[in-house]
Amino acid sequence: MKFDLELFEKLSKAVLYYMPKQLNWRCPRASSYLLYDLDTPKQINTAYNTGFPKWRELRNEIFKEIRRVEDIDESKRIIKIILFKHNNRSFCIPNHEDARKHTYFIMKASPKILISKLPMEKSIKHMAMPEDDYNLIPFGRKGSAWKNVHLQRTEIGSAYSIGTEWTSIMFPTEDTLYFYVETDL
Amino acid sequence: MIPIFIGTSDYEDSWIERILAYTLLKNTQEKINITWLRPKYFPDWNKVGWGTPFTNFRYAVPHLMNYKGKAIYMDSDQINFRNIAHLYETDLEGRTFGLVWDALMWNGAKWRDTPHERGFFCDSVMLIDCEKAGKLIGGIDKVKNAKYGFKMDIFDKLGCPDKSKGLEQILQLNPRWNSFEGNNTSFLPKGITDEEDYRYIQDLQPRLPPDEIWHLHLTGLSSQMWHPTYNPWAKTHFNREDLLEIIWELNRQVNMITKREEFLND
Repeated sequence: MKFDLELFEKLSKAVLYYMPKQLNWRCPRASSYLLYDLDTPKQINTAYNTGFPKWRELRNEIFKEIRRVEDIDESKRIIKIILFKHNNRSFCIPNHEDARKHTYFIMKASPKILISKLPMEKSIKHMAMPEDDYNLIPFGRKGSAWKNVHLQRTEIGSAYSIGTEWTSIMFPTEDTLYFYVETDL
Repeated sequence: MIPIFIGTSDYEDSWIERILAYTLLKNTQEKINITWLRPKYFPDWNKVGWGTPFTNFRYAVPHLMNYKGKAIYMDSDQINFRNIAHLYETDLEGRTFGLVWDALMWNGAKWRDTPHERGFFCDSVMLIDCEKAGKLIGGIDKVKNAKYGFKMDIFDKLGCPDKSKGLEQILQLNPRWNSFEGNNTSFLPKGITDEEDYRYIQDLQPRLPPDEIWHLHLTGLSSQMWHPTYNPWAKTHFNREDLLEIIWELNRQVNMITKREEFLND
């Protein structure tokens, strides 16, 4: 699904320029920038909503665009928004979200995403497959051992949603940049 | 020249360091000499069990000053809003330290149901008489090899947490000089019990308006907006929108200096 790349670029450029890079368990060694998060610790009743001015300026537009792309109305929550910037040492670990979907908004490079329609514990063994050798691994071929594993090629300006029944792993290249978004189903 | 020593990490706090240095310079006409106390400058120190990358470095300040004159120590997670010379020129009245009283600090079961169960002097902003402090703390080898909890060894000698005993050697500073999260650090709300969480009761303290804060201390590792990578806790929102606006504007100003050419070409 195409999204408003220009709008997201306005935000990502400002974030990369002004915000300090952070860590996030989803992508060891990558630079991450947490913008919004409803998953707060138990004793904290305030949602995470960075005070970074460009985020505050564009937040409503970004929310609106996410709702359009995800095809969700106001009754569904946008739960988490993180910008990830990769480097030549960073990598992703498998991701599975119960009762919500997770989406990659691709900003730079065209990383591949391996997805598996299996729960995390059954998917994890597939997540290290060579994502760049279709001859070796016939991803998704019916009747084969790889029938539940699919390879998603990505494009800049497109968003890729992964449903709650699925597990995903991204294979970032050095310059990969994307927004990671979690929403209600 | 005002000597200022700042405890910090090797690189994880660089975002706030720049803002702190900028605000210290912005708010004074006096010359200041900033010394960054980073782990890489103290390679052979015993750092086991420290809560921060710089916990005991502050007690090296008298040694670094050759046990002469006055100096200021502060942690790096702070932002200055008032001429730091005003703090430096504070008359210690013959005492060793100038410190702010942290009214909420829980002093442990040992002091439960005593007048001293809560409240302690905080060593995150210190005005130090280096000669007197050197005699109290001891030589640099003692500091270097100290175990975790060295602070308590020193403050035990001063009679703390008994505030009246402590005040014989400590000048109590205006809480605005070390305003935790923008609050009045020295205010003890009524009716709190010893079991209540520090973060929760902190919300019961009066919030100082921005122009009443002389020196802001962002003590909550989780809510520090630069999220240093050594923080093992979840990231949380810093709950002062008025201060957030100011802090991000200061960040913009710092960027205008450090990336000046890019701004001029914009």
